[in-house]
Amino acid sequence: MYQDFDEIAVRARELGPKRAVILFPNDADVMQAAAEGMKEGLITPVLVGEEASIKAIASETDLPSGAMEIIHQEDPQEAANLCLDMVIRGEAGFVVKGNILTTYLYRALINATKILAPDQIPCTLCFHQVQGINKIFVVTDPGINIRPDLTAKKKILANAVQMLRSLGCDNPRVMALAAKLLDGSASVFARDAQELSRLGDKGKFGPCTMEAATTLFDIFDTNNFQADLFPDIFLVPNIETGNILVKTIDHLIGGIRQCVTVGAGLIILTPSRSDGYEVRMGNLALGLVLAESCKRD
Amino acid sequence: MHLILEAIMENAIQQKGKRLAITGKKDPVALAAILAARDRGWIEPVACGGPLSELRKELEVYFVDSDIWQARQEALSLLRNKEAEALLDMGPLDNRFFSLLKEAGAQIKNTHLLSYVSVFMLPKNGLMTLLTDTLINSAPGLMEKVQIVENAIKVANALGIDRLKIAALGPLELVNPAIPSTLDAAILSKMSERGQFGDVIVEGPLGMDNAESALAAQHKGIESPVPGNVDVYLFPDLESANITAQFFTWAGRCQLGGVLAGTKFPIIIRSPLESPDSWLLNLALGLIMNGEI
Repeated sequence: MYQDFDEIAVRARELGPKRAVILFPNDADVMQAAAEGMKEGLITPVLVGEEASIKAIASETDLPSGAMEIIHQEDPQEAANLCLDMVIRGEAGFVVKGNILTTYLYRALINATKILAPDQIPCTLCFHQVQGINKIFVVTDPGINIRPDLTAKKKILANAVQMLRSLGCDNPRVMALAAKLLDGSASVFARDAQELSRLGDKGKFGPCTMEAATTLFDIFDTNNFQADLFPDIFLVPNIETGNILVKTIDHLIGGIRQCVTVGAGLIILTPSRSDGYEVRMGNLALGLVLAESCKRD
Repeated sequence: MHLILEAIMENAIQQKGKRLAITGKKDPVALAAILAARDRGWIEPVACGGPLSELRKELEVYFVDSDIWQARQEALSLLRNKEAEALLDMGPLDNRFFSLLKEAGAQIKNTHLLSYVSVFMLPKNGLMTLLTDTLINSAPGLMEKVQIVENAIKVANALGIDRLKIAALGPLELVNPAIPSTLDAAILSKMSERGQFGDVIVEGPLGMDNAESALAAQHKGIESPVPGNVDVYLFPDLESANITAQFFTWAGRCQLGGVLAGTKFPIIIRSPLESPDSWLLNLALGLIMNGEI
């Protein structure tokens, strides 16, 4: 397993450049990132969207649009479907979201996953690198599923375990998080977490080590933190927890966060406008490494 | 003004020997903190109950024939009769303990909610930051959140935080009818706009990214003095609050303290979110809450 994003960047440079399909790059920031990824030797961009506006932006930003392949499709849903079809057919490694609502890509991914991997549902995985913890850990799902029920959580976990394994973490340590109620009763979240732990032990999510505990204070004495025991995958109970948690780790605790959305091994990157150069290149590198390890036969 | 944690500890000495009833099971780390607080002149401790009778060499012990449960009831009557001014319970922290507090009328008003406020210094700027409710109310609705906000305001005021700014967090900054927590946050925000919380600004819903950065908030078109200056993070539910607090402790290596809020008199406990080292901090935090918390 990669210990940090630098190792992933090194691996990505060995693998690249790979074709990446960029949906609606008619935005200066998105176009800039595509060109930078190309110069860094990470990607060969394929631009999908309205051709005239893509060309206009490319010329405004003084970028070599001639060097990039453009596929004209102005309907956002058709364009999103087309991008995923290209990845499914092996014509591109992954999709990068541009100037478009994420919903279109999510819808395309949900449909594709239903057909290709019915035992999974798409979810967002946030990969975190935090000082003092000597590995990358993942929080899921802060993005797609608002309040997943037990069935949905099983599919999210199957998906997350597979992704971690494809990054070389052969036996990820998994914790399904749930707060403990003071009256000793189990909330629906705690009951789900316990059931997931039981199923994980039976190998239902692939090879992984399920924590029986649902909180960090159950596994760590506050004075005796062991980084080795820190889980690789945290499954959160709902979108509130996931979303607030990943942004807390990113903005208040510090470190690096990279998010990818994945279903059936299809990778979508959803970079944010405020990402700096390093983060954008790190995001492409992670996409590249994940796409390579999820390669379809 | 933001008091730093050391200043809280120094402030506690102004309590000048507050009479503290001690209950629960024997916890050596807690007892060490109690003795340290006594030596600093913060408190005059009185241990309550048979399980603490062997402390007789060190402390005054009352109710030696009582078990933990009886001793808690007896200690609460000491507080009601003003024979003690604060309570410290060493656990176990379970429903029975909290039910007893309610039966004994330890909350400000009969119907008032107890809630928990975690207190710590934010590593990135060293400012005191409060998180609530990290321990008690599992799925608070709007009624409960109003009281959780009121409780947090009292704690923040006691800590000397002026012109309090509260971020009502959500998974996004837009009001989404499919996500009830965003509706609650928006209503609390409107209530504060109408002055219903006094000289306090509640802004929400805010994602953690735009709560934390004024610039990020401006990018989303949010004009408010709260982003980038948050004193209190109000979480949408117990799961998000408790789990986020765990990550501050175990991934961020922050030392958390905590205050039980909504009580008539200081009730000092230690939640599993805090390390045993936090007993002295929790004790100081509890003691500087003046009057009703």
